[in-house]
Amino acid sequence: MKQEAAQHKLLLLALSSCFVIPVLLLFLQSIAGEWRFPHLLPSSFSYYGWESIFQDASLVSALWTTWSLTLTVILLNLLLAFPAAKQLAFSSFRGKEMIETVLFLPIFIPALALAMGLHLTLLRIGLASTFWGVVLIHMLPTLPYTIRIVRAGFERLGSQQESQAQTLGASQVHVFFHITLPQLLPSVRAAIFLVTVISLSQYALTTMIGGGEVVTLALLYFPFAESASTQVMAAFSILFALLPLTFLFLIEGLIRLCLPYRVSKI
Amino acid sequence: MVQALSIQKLNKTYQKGNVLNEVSFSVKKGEIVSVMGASGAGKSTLLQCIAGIESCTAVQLELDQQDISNWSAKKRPIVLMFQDSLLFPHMTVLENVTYGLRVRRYNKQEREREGLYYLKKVDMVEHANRYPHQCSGGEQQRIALARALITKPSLLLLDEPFARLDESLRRMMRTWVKGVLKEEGVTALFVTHDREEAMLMGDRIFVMARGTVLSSGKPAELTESPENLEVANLIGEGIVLENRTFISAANLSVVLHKAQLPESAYYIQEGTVTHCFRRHGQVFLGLQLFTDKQDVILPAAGELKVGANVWVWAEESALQPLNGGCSSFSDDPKPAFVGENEI
Repeated sequence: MKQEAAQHKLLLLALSSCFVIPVLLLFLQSIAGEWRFPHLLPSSFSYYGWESIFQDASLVSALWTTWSLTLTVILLNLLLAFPAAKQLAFSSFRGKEMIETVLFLPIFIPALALAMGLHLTLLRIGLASTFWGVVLIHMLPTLPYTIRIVRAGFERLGSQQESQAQTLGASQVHVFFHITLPQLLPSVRAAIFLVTVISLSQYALTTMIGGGEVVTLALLYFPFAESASTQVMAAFSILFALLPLTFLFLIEGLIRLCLPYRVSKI
Repeated sequence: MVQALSIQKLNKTYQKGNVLNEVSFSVKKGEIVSVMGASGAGKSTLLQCIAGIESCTAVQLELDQQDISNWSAKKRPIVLMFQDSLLFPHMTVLENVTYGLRVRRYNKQEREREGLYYLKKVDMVEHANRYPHQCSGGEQQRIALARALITKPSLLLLDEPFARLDESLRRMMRTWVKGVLKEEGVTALFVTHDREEAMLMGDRIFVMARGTVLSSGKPAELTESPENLEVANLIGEGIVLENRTFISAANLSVVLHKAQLPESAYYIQEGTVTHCFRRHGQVFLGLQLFTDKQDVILPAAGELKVGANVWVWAEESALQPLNGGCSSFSDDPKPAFVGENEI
């Protein structure tokens, strides 16, 4: 037992050094004034990196746009994926295979090719260069994954628990919030994280559909990478990496606040 | 006695065809009815239709004199217990048991009081704050029973609830569950494919095959006098002769030597002992009959060696014609299966 515990600790240490040390180094880099080889630590510290990114007016607005865009994409993803995934998991109907294929096509066909065609349509209906146009285009590379993840969750859960709750007198809404959602939380967490990461990193799609009007962090990231110092880049990267975490904490907090059961026990 | 459930011509059709065909029966208040049949007979579908989980058509579907055919599963005062206990894994045992009350908006104190009362009833009160995965299979089924009973359903449907339990636990649970159901005065339909379980649990038994109820009656009536061949094969205790005649095991006797056969013996067959076992102090012999190639289990006065030859006999009055056939003796003075030395 003791040996096993020691092994676990060693593994944990090895894993955390792989993940924690690079992040720590990145953080150090963002506040380093001068840091030259062969010094192990920076010889001076400065907040120049952080100051310069927050002084950039476009960054604050891009941060806000990215945040609201990603949140909208997450919510829309969950809203559409739950009913679709449930039907695909439990129902059998004519044309199911075809619908499944259509739903997963955006993963197989390059999103840019789809976006070219969609751009024309969005121009026609007046959604090009708007927030909602970008939201719509971000659904393309994210929704297939969300449906897949949530569907796997439903299949793991099975439909009998829902039937059981119904015969005990529960309504569909009650079943969803008390039985289904608490047990699908691992899938919801995975979907949120994946959607956030995919949506945040969309450069080409956002540029094409946003038309320069909708500026997200990804759009600012590349010019920064070319021109700014390593400090600024490090600070920007940390900011970029923190965004998915804020969504995760936000949703997790909401879930813990709203759900009546201790979700950690699931 | 007042009727609790009344069903007339219930049908259920899937794309592949009919699963339930014109099912009609009624159940009295406080009665426990076993629904027995082989796999695929439509037993589980029938329960799901009654619970409202599956849609169906019926000329009459009444519970406590109220037409419930258009009621949703949520509205029907019926609880279905599945093969798996289906406890909600994210809730404690007490939260599971009181889920039905939570749905009905009982306040927390009331819920806990009732929950603990029912947990006490099923001897699980010390598990109240545990999670389902910390309980054994039998304990989980007891919790599921408490969760079903707490809502005081007009009808409880049990779909092979002991199927996942081991033999000894299953035997213990049968008697115990029946006791609890009788104590609570619950009307229940109990689905099983196990003949012994059906007889033990049910005040009456419905025998199902091909989506319809073939026969119904008290356990002893069905096992000793099955109406037709299918019922005889499914639940009858005895032997079936040429698919036309049935002899109940209660009317069959065993002797060791031919000379011991009485004069009144009409049906005579030689057979061999395939196995011998004791249950509740009584010795039983598993026999294989030579001519009819049938297996039958009969009580005996003492143990016999496996492979020993015996004679099985019955009086003429013990032969019962099965529906769809005719008595073998009405037109044939020398039936084929009577032993070579006629008495």
